[in-house]
Amino acid sequence: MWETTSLTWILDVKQMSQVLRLLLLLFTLVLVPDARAMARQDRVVGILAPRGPEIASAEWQPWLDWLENQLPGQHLTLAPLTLAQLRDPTVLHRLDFLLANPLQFVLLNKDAQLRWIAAVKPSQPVPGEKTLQQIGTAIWVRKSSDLHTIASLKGKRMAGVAEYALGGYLLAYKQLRDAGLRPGHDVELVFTGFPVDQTLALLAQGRVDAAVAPLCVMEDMQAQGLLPADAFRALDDVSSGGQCAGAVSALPGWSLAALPSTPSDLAEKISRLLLSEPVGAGLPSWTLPVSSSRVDNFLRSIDMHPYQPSLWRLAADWSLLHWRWLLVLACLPIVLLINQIWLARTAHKQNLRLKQAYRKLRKYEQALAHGERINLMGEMASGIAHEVNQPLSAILHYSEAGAYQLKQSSPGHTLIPVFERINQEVGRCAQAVKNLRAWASPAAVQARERIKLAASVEEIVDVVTLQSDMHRDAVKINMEAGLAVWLVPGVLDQVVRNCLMNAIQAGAQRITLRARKNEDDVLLSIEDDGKGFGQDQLDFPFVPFRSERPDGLGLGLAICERLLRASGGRISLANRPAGEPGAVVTLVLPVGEPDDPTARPDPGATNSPLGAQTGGHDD
Amino acid sequence: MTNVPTTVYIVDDDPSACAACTFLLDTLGYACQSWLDGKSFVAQAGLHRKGVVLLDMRMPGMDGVAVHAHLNKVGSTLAVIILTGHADVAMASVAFKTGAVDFLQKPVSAQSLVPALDAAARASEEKLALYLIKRTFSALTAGEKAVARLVFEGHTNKVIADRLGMSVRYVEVQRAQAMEKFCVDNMAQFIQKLSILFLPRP
Repeated sequence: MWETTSLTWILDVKQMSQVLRLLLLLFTLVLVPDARAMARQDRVVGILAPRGPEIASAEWQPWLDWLENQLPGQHLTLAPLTLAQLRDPTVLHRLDFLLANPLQFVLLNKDAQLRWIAAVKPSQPVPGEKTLQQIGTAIWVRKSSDLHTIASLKGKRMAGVAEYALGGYLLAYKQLRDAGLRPGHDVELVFTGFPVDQTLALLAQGRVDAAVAPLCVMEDMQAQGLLPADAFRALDDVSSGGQCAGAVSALPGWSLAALPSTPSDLAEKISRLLLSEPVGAGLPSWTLPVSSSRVDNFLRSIDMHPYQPSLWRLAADWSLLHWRWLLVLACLPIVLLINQIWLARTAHKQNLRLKQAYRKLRKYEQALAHGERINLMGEMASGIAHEVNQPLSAILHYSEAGAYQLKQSSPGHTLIPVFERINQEVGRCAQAVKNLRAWASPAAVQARERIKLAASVEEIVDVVTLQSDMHRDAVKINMEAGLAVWLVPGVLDQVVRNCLMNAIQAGAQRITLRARKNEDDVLLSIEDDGKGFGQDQLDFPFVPFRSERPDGLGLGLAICERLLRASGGRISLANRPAGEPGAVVTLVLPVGEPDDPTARPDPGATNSPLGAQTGGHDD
Repeated sequence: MTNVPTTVYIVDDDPSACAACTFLLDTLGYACQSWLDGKSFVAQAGLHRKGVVLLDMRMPGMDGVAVHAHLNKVGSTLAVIILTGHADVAMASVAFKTGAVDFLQKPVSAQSLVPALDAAARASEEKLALYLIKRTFSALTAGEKAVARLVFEGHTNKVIADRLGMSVRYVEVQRAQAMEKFCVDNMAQFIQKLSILFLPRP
């Protein structure tokens, strides 16, 4: 019903034909009962009507009539306005004067150049009287409600008048904010629009938990019998000091302003009238327009001042000014992200490479360790064979000689079979030793391969320096390019590794490996600056179990010598020239099949030696 | 076996193995001499006679390989049998390459030792013969050497005289002197000795 009537208010009186004006007058007869003759100058006074056009008219028509009487030739028409209409430029355009609370002026002044004429004089509240000049708000809850503080409104529904209503919302909004709540977020808001009565009506109907109403609206409505008395309670009643519950704001009271189109002389005249002439009883008294600074401050305190530049606006301006930097900033995360991805990829690849290298190293180490074990066993078996074969030889010789002598002196002697049994047992024993050796030396049966010297030596040096405290840079490798040797796989590794370990254990700080092509072979020398070989070692090289180290087995060089010999190579030991400490181990490595002594066409050499004697002493 | 007992030189650093081997070979009728290290063996033993060396490979100081190499170097007529407690193929092949007659692994039975010794004795005999002929030949004068070579090639005294630019009579004298130095009294024996010298050995 409010919507339909409000449509009628906004119809412009000035710009209509006379017929339309008459029609309008018919419509607005109820609102403007004292409409004067058409001949007079029409002035429209817009009045904010928080409680609806009727109440606004009832409140202000007497004052307007009084003012009209003071202004001959002027016809003043009262136009009640809602907040929405106030913000509508087309409506404002039709007004000559505006009476509203100063907050609306400040909000409007951004768009309309208003001239303030006078303000309603604040008066001491008189019990039972209208407190128009007082601005304040009250948040109401039902008396039965368990809400007692503003903070307890969290999560509740609250009715307000409009987003820009002062007493009907903004003042309460500030209270909520001060209490730490975010209206609209922590508190669900329902806006009803004018008349402000509707918020309380919603509360009375139980559709909201709380309602915001301008000061005294509740009391008025109760007095008018619209709402039951004693059914509601004001929240946080800091008290207005008057008879109405709620919080009175320090904001100035309602003011009258002239719109830009209004002639200045008329505005001045009204200003003089209002300020000088004593108004009649029951009419508001007027004073100078108050400073808008309080309103400004209030609006700023709730971040709603129209001139307060919005953060978005500021940000947009700043962005336009510094767009290059912003672009750089925007690119930065992308660059960082790409960098991160690249780093992760690199790390992943590196990780894979490391794992692969580690696996390779492990495999190589295991192969080396296996080879070393086998060689160690082979060397021990060889040592055992030597040690056992010597006495076996002696036993066999003696028993054979004994048998022979007996056969010569007394054939058929009973001890002859005994000697022969001894010979047989010796053969058995020899076979056992031979089996042990054959089992423990697989290197001899392995085929030889062409091995690239530089790559293999590099790899060995890498592994040895990794396994010891020796720094990789302390080992120099100086080789002719393209050298290759012809060896059983693993032999070079074992031998070079052994020599390097010996050098390191002899306290070498620097090791130099040199390789050069000799006539039919490759010479690989390993020179160090350790303590060198002892004389005993130089006199009896490669004799097993003669280590100079307390924890050494003394098999290393013996194994190297045996491995190389089996592969057609040689090893020799020397110390560096006098005056320089350190040892020089020289390896003579075969380079190919033609130099293979076992492969040389030498009659009877290839198969016979071991084969011939196998049956020899076995019986 | 020849009527002259073969001398066997035992070179082994193990005294008891040496003694046992000596005992066995004595029993079998060989003349034995033993050395406990390679150095004293090459220093003391007569290297240019008929004999067999039973050579141990693994010895301190001068080892079997070195002894063998030394014998080859001085052109010893002794036949070498390698006798080792720890044989392997590489070692054996080296041994044969450097002219060992046999390569036996300890413990060696008489059954395989005796044929090896006999073969070695024959080899030594041949080597000795060659050595002696070579020595005799090298002791000839240049003229005698030239005449001997052409005689071996089957030329008559006349042809030889023409070739060398000397008289037939002089050639005859030279040949007689050479045959005397070779201790032969007929042409067949002379040619046979020269064939040992000039014919390539198989």
